[in-house]
Amino acid sequence: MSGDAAGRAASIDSSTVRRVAGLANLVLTDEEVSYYQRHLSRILDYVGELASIPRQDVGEFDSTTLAFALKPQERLDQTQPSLDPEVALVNAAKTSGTTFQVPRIID
Amino acid sequence: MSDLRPFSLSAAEISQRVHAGDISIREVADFYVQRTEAYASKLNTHLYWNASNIAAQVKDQESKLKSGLKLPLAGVPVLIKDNICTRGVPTTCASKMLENFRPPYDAHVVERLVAAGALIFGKTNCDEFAMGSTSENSAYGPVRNPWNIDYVPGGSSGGSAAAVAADLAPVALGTDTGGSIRQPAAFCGIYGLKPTYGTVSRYGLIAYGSSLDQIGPFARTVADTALLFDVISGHDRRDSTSRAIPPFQTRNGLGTADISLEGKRIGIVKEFFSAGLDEPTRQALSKAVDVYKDLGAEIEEVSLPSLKYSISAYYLIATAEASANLARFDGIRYGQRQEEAGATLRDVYQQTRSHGFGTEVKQRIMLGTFVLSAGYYDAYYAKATAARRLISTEFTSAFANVDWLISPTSPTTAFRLGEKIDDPLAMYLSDICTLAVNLAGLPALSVPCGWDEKGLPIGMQLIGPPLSEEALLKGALAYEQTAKHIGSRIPQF
Repeated sequence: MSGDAAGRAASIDSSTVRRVAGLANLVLTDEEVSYYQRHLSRILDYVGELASIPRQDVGEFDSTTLAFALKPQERLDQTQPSLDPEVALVNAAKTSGTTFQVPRIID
Repeated sequence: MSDLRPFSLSAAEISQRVHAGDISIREVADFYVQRTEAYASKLNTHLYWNASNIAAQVKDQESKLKSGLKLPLAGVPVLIKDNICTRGVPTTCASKMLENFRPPYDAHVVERLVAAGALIFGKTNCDEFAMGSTSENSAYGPVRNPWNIDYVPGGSSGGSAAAVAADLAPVALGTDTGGSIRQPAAFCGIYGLKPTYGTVSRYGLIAYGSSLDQIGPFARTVADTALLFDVISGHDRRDSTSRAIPPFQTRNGLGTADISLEGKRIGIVKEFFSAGLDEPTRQALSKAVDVYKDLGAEIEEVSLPSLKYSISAYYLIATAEASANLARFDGIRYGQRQEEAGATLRDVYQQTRSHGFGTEVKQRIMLGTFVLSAGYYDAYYAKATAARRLISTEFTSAFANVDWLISPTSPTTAFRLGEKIDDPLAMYLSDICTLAVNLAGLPALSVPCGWDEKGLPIGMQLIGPPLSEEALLKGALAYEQTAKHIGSRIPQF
């Protein structure tokens, strides 16, 4: 499926499902690939209706144009207290001293 | 000996009687502990509660009371949806991913509740990471609707809604990204308020769709809805989308509310009354509109044609944001970690996430990842944001002519457990009436307005312009006092 295909009856092939899963750091079984291929195709088919929106007449999304017109709140650039290292580490499965432990990255 | 009876006291009355010395905080706590022991397992509403923890809170709140503090929620048990952080207390988001997670801090709303005298009575079941409309997507089993335990309570905040409907607490907090407070409130026959975006701090809320998420109250009366909202609202510098406004004081306005609605203009959203609306819901809404007419309101039909895009826009924007927000669950800093011998860092990420997330969460992460990926962004995500702007603009135009809008909260009453679990699109379509409100950042309130022939509750949605919570609550109070549904039926479970 290509980007141009949006708006027509969409489908997503199994290699695209695997590629997207990889981007999301997920590994799928063959059964799961088939499940998500089926469901994502249905959803993408449905959302294809958005292709009919004339984008040039609407413009890009900008939160300040929404009804709630939220302006970002700024705060002083001052140091605030943060979690003590032992508190920050308490939920980690593996730690070493005052650090989170991960598998070796550089040999 | 207290005279507490199920469904007999509101949160406001509990606080009032505690201050008057008429009942003690301990008596209130004991009463609700007994109800929790009796019914929480049957309804599967609670993911965590602990009698010793509650007893410790009782002591703390009693000493605050003795020091003469005026506490708006003195001794009031409040349940918290399990995607809101509670310090040292398990917070799982109903996911295996966070089954052992105990946050090192309280969410802003939890701090506010405790300061107001509330007892944090437990954490409630929900759809995993708030993704779902039935509370069946929980790693810890589905929640059941107290009006009929073979039916869903709605979702994603189904545990909070079902628990309040069953009087396992007078009030609770939920979160609403696309209807997750209002729809379960409707399915369980109680009130549920989704506040204006930015009025309640998201600090300590485990994010799903950050531009859509808001925390809000569940209650069995308008007065309690207002009471809880007032306590949790107001500015918090730790949330950069929190508005620089003081806490609301809607309760003061309600105390003097004149229930006459002379001069009020109410819009009936044409698109929400079209195909797919079941007959009992249509009839209940029609009667509710008649109540408003009798109270003096002018009723007119309003059309918002871009609402037809709301399901598509919502599911693309929410999942895109979710794909980024849930990237943090990688097994390193918190949550479970899967690591086979010789695993690389990437293996740890992949094994942890593949094992920890449930089916629907994986689906939404992949949908969001797909629509943000190279080659698809313009075709999907950019179109969805354009639709969001159209929808928002149409709401703004509508509110130039009417004070608030009325729609059903859901096109149908609750569905049977398992009825839609295998058909995600059918599930998404059931959210048609609530999604647009989040896209536009508006406040909306689900109001109980009757029952269908199966005895399942029906909800009416009142939608207002930004920051119109007090007006919506007054409108709901006018209906509550006239229709007199509240307390006329009690769920048997």
